[in-house]
Amino acid sequence: MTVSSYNARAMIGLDVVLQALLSGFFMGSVYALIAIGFTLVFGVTDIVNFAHGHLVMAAMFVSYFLFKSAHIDPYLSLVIVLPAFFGVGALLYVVVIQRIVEAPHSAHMMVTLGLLLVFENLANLFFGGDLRGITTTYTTSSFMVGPVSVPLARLAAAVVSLLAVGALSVFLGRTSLGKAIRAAANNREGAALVGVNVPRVYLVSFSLGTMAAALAGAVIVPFSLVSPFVGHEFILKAFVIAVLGGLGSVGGALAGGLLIGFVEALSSLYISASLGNAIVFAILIAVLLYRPWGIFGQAKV
Amino acid sequence: MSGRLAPGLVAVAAAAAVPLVAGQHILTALIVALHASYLALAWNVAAGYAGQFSLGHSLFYGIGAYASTMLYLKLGLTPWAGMFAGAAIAGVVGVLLALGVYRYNVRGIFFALVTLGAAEVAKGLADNWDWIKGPVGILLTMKAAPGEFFFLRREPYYYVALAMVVAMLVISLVLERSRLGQHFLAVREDEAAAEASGVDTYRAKTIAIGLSAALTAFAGSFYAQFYLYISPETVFTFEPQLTMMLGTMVGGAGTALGPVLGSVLFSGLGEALRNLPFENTRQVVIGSKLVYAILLIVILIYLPGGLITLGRRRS
Repeated sequence: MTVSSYNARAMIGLDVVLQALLSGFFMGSVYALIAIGFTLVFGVTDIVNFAHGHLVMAAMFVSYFLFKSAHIDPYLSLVIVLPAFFGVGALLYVVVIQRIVEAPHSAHMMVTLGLLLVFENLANLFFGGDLRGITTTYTTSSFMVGPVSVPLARLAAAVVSLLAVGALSVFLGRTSLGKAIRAAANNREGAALVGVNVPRVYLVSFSLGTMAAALAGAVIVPFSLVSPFVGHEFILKAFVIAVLGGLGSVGGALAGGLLIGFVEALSSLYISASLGNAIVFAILIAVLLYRPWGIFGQAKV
Repeated sequence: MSGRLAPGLVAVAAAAAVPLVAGQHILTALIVALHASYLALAWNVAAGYAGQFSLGHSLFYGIGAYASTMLYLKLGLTPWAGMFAGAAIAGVVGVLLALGVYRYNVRGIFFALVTLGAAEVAKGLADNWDWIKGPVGILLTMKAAPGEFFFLRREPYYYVALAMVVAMLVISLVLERSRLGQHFLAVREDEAAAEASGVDTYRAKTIAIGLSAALTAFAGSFYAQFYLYISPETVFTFEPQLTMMLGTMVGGAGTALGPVLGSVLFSGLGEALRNLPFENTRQVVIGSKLVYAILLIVILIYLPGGLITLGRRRS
């Protein structure tokens, strides 16, 4: 540690800034994955899923308890968590979402808010409101690269998140089901006319979005605390990122996620942490006013 | 209207007689229900009638709460007057927000997100503003000072809350029959068509937000005087917003009685569940929220117009 890191604000050393940028990159990658799940669901089904952040929370709890009760590592738990949450997504879609697809946006928002409340209160009822965390063998491990320390758990979370984003892009771009999803997102009637099974595409998209949220939840468990209320933070970030990237855009959400990761890390370094959210939302408002199609997106029509 | 005037007057008279028989505990529950009903009706002006689904009304609620409280503490202005000042400030903020947002043609889901963002920014600013005591919040002292909107017993608060709901119902009914109200409905149903038939939709939407904002602020002032404690965490968060939306959407958005029906149902349900003979009160409170949430989903799926449509279908 150099002396400069002790002189807060007045002089922040380059190593501290690099450290912040690195942690911003790591969290940004995870945010990107969460936001991509959110934006995929919106892009295809036109539904804004307020409960998306709470799906992250639910997966965090599942991984937490698998570790606590069966000593299953969060990364190993993915074998259980991913298919399980694909199923949760499918179930939510069939039981609830499917019935409101045709309803106005206000109904979408209210029903998914209702789902948010269901998840939050179920978790609170069974697990209580306390923050809980786990300590794996690698929770505090890190290695030095030049002046910055690279925390292993966060690095792994970022790598897995980015791999998942890549896999999702390949799936959407190359496979026939992926192409059908994009077709349905672009033009539902047109896709249906050329033989795309739109209801199935909606079901798969919603399930994939849920799975993306679950993956993000599981990989941050080794270094994050979980409570029934952590979902709010994730959904707010997902909103902002998805809007920054242009709602429905996967590539845009990746760029937006990294941007928000950096903004968050730097604003907690240079400005007060409690203003961080306000800054993020001020950016959101500015983008919505001036470029509603997103910073990285293109204007439609 | 005249056909509904008589039952309306009977209902108000009955409500006014309640404190003669009800104890302090029941009155508290009724005040909570009336406050929720008022909030729902105020949000309903913008979201229900004009279709402007704001998620940032906590901003106006918080402005009302802080304006009347700060004016009282710093200038000695009675909150009876301070609540009107708060409403004026919230109205101006609402109009400015609306002018900006509608100027850039933000609508639908984007409008919901911008307003949600505005409330979040307000909370961040309030948390960092030392003059209003930041995240610590402000505590008011309990005392008997009717001229300054402080009462020791529940009855006066009950009558104030009841008067606010009655006033809000009258405003809603007048609005429904006014030209402005017709413009609101036209905007909600089809903005392009409204514009084509000569409605100044920009003006109508801006008035809807400004009016709804000012009306919401009164509830914030009432909250401060009734609970005697405000903080960014209690007034600027999503909690008040949720109260407004639950009652309105479950009861029936865009109607005068729907939001009251929904709010009273939710408050009553919460109170009933709390009084069940369970030992673990924490779990009962959480359980009642769970019941709300499930009810909300079921009602929105099967009765998209809200509970109020049940009565209409029969008649």
